[in-house]
Amino acid sequence: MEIARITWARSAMAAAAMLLLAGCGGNQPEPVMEPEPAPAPPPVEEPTPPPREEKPAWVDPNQQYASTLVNIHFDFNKYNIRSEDKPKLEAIGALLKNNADFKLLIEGHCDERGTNEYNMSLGEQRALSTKRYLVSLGVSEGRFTTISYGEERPLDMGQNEAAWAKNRRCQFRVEAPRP
Amino acid sequence: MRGRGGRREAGDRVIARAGSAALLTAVWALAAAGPAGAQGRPDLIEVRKASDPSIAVGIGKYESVPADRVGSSPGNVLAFDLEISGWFEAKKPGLLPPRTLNDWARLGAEVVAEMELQGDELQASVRDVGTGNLLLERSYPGTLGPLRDRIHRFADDVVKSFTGEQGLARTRILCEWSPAAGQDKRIVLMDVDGFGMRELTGEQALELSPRWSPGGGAALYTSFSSGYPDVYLHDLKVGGRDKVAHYEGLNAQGDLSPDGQQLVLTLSYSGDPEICSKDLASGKIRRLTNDQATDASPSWSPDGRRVAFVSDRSGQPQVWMMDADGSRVERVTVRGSYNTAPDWSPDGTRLAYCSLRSDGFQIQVIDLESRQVSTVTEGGGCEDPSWSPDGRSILYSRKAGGRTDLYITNLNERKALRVTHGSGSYTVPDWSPYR
Repeated sequence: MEIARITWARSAMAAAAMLLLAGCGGNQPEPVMEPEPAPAPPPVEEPTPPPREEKPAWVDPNQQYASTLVNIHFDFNKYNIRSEDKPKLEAIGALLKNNADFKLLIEGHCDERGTNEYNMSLGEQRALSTKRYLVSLGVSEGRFTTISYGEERPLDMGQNEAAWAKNRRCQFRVEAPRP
Repeated sequence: MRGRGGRREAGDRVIARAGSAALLTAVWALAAAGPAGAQGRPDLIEVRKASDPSIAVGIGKYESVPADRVGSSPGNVLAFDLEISGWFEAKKPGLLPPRTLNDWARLGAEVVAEMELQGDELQASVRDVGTGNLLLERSYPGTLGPLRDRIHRFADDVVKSFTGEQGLARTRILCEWSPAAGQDKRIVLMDVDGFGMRELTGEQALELSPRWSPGGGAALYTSFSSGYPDVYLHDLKVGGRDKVAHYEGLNAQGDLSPDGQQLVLTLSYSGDPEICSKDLASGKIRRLTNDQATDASPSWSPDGRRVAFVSDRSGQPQVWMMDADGSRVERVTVRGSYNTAPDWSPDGTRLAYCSLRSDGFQIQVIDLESRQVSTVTEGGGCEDPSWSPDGRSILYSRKAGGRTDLYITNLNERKALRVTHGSGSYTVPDWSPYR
C-alpha cells in the first residue's frame, strides 16, 4: 500500500513537470497530418423485423376446456349413457372435431359397492360405452383411449348414495401435442 | 361352537376311537422314535371325519420358546395354526396356566400340546388329558429353518396325526393391500397367519387381483405400472416378472390353468370386456365369451376343463361357467341380484362366490351337483372368497368397523378367524397351494 502510494506520487510529479514544459511553449512537436477518413459506407437497408408474435403461454387444454370436459355419471351397476349426459358428450364431440390433434382418454370409474374385479370390468364398460357414443357423433375411433380404474379411485370417500353417485362416472382427459 | 353339545369328558373321543391299548402303545413307540421313525410307518392316531366336531386342544407349556425369535407368542402361533385347520379348538389358558392334566380337563381340553426349546431343537408333544398318555412327540432341529416355521411344522404334524390330512400352517396368502385410505393398492405376500407380510414389487403403481400359479412358485396380478392395466406373471423365487397381457383396453384378472400352460383373463380389446384364454407358449389368444355383457373374474376348474366367470348377460351379475373352449355355457347362480368372484373348491365340486344378501355381501357356497346353496359368513361386508387347499375353509375379505381385513371361516365350525391386524386394508386374497 505504502509503495503504491509512493509510486503514484512520483508519477504525479512527472506529469506536473510535463505540464510545466508544455506551458513554456518551447519545442512543440510538429502536428501530424491525420489521413483523410474513408467515406462512410452507405447505410444498409435493414429489413424491418416482424413485430413479435403475441403467442399466448401454452395452456393445457384440460384447463382451457375444463367446462366442456366434465364428468358424466351412471346408475348403479349400469353403463348406458343417461339422456342428461348426452349434451355433455355432444360438446366433447364438437371439441374433438374442432381440434383435430386432440386425443381423448376416457376413464371409467365405479362406486365402492360390489366386488373389485367386477367393478374393473364395469368401469371399462362405462368407458367403452362413452367412447361408442362419441364415435357415433362422428369422431374417429382411433382418437380414444379407455382405461378402467374400477372402484380404486373414488372422488368422494363417503359411504352414502351422494358419494356413490359422484363416483360412478367417466372422466375425460385431452392429450394434445404441445406446440 | 356349532356341533358341540354339552361338555364331553376330556379325551373320551381320542381314547375311545384310538381303540386298543396296543394302538396307543404303537403310537407312543412311534412318537418316541421321532420323525425319522415316523416316516416309514403310518402315524394316524385316528382318522376323523370332516363332520366331526373339533378337538379341544390345550396350548400347554412353551415358556422356553422365546417369543422374540418367533415374532409373537409361540402359544398364539400354535393355537392359530391348529384352529385354521378346522379340526381343533384351541384352549389358551388365562393368567394361571394349568399345572396338571386335571386343570386342563377342567378347562375343557381333551389333549394338550406342549413345546420346549432345548439348545436349538424344538421338542414338541401332544398328551391325552384323560389318560396322560403321550400321543405325539416330535423334535424339530434348527436345520429345519426359523423357529416360527418349526412351530408351523409341529402344528401340521398334529393335524396329520389326528386327521390324516395335510395341515395349512405353512401355506401363504397373496392379497391387495392399501397402506391407508386413498392410497393405491399393491400386492403383498404373507404367511397364512398374517405374519411376515412383504410387498411383491415395491413399485408405486396400482396393483390388483393376485392369483397363485398352480405350483405356488409364481403370482399373476394386474399392474398399472405402464399407466394402463396389464397382467404380469411374477416369479416368486427369482423375483423377475413378465408382462403376459398388454393389449388395448383392459387386461385383468388373470388365472393360470392347472397345467400352467394357459391363462384365462378379462380383455377388452374387442370392444367390451370378454373372457379370453391365452396360450403362454404360442401367445395365441382365444376369445371364450362373445356378447355385449360385462364379463369378469374367470377362474379355472381344478381339472382344467371348465372356467367359472361372472357375467351380467342376464341383466345382473351372476356366476356362469363354460368349457375351456367357450362352449357349454351355463348359469350357476340363480338367486339374488348380485353374485360375483367365483372360486372353485380344490375337488371341483363346489364354487364359493360373493353374494349380495339382505344383510350385505356374504360368501356363499354352491354344490355343483345338487345346486344347494349355503351362506357361510355372517354380518355382511364379505367379499372375494378363496378356498383353502384342503377345501375345508374359505379365506375372504371383510369390511367391518372401518377396516377391511382378511378372515378364514371353516365350513364345519363356521367360526371366523381374523388373519390381518396391521394398518391399512386387505382385499382380494388368494390362498396358496400346499407348500
